[in-house]
Amino acid sequence: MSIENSTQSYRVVLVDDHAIFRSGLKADLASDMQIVGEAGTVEEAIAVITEKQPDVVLLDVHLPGGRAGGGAEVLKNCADLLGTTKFLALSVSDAAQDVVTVIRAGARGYVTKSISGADISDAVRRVAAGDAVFSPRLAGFVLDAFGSSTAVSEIDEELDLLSDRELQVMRLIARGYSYKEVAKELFISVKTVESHVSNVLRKLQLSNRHELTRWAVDRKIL
Amino acid sequence: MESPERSLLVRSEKRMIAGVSGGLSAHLGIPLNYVRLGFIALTALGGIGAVLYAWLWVFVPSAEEAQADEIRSWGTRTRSLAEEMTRVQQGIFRSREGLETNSSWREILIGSGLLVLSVLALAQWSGWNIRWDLIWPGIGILAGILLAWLQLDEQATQAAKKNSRPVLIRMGLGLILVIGGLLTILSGSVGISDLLGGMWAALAIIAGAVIVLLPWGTRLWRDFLAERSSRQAAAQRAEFAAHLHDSVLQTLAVIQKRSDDPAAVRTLARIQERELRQWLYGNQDLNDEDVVVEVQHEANDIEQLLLRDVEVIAVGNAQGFDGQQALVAAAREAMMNAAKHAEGKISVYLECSEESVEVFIRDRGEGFNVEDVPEDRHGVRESIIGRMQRAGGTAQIRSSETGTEVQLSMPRSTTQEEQTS
Repeated sequence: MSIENSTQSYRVVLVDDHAIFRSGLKADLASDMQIVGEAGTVEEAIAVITEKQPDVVLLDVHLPGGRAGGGAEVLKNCADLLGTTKFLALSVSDAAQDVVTVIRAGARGYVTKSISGADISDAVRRVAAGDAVFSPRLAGFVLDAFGSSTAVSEIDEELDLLSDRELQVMRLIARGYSYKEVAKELFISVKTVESHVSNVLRKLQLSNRHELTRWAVDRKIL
Repeated sequence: MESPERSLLVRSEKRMIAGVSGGLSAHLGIPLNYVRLGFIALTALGGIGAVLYAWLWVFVPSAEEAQADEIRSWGTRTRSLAEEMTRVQQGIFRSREGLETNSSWREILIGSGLLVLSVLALAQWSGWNIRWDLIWPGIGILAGILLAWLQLDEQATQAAKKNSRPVLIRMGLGLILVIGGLLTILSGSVGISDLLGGMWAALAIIAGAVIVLLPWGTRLWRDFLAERSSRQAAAQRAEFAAHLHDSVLQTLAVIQKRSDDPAAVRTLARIQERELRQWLYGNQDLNDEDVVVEVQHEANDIEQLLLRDVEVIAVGNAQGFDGQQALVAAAREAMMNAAKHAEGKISVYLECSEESVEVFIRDRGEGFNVEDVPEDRHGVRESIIGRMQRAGGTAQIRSSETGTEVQLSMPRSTTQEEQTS
């Protein structure tokens, strides 16, 4: 991938309540990942992240402690760091409510824990570079929420509708295409794909759209 | 029942008193409120309405009774032996017998009541001094008590709160009958002014008792609620434990035994994960016949059969459209091909829109050229492309050295039921 840069190493904090999973992940991560801290609860996570100010936080969605808000609570408490520290959400669950909650709280991407070490290292690099990481599952949720066949909507809401191009990109990611394959398929550069995905992420985070709310309420997410 | 579209005359479940009006309105096709007004009008004309109502109450079976009858006479034909046996165990026949004794009990009660009345009338006619001013209120009190207590029985069986309004009305009617009857009896022996004074005293006593006992009452009620919810929680925990034992612990045991075979362990873990996930927060709101569920099911099947990872992403849902079977079968064939011939993860994407349902099956194999497939190999040409075309859909296969993608599309011309999300 173009982002890979052998001279740069990434300072990473691992947040997960399962010590076994943390040690497994540490062994799996590529050599340019430097683990600067670990945490197992909401309070520990907030303390470690505030102290170390890492490049990337690998954040489990389900965490004990705090006010039972899990990963989203950590994100809310670290909101002032979001400019420099990027959060990548990890979860065993791919339930829509977990995903959408952490993404809307500010995470830059979402991957399931069954992901391989190489893939997760790649995702960390991507997130650190300011891009968004969308798993096929997350792309599926986005398409479901924003409606691929959205009915006529009012003019003032059109701003945060997904553009045709963004929908195309989402659909290809949901079909299992990598960013590179998406770029090839649509005859655009990988950078353009990345910016489309980042735009979708922004819309997902900022959108108060009727559709998204209704979708979320239908599924008892928000 | 000469005309087939006319529904059976049964006492309705939507009811104010006994469901007679509801049943009659369903049977005759007249709006419910007209029937009720008719009964009230007839009652005003010398009580005929009340008598007719009571007569229908006694002789028309209730909806549940009729249903039980139906089940008994038709059940043997449509159900399998096993179901029949469980049904017998569940005591449907027993409950039928119970109903019979129940209704005959009702007839005996009413018959004997009429008998007593006629004996009393005869006695009066032959010169005895019968205190009718006591008997009529007595009958009123009895009727009120029956009306109120019958509710208790029903609330115990159907804990539904939705029909609480008619229940309240019937309770109120019973209460008025009882209190009215008691007051009428008392007014015979006590003066009206004394009666009124006594009523105030009674009210004061009741109010005092309520104030003192209210905290106890609420605490008892809260204890009862807490106890009930903890019982529900315990039952749920037991269900969780049973499920975890049946699935997760069994799989973990197998995994430990086969720890020397990484591929098997991985697949076992994956299957178990999927199953548990489905159980915890699966598509519980989706129907079994939904195309999403069907494709997911096929994917699980292939995962277990060929020990491969198949990831299914679905957007929207649809069911009951033309060609659904062909679509699912073609998708299965495509997943099967991918699992057999290609390495790596298989991605399945399913999108249901208003106009069509599309399925994309992508693998990361070496790819192949569709034209190069020999004529005698039917997999792709027949089971995927041919099948889709016959059902009115399309199938495209795009293959390159980085993988193959099968694209299936089925237009949705007729939709019986649809929940767009």
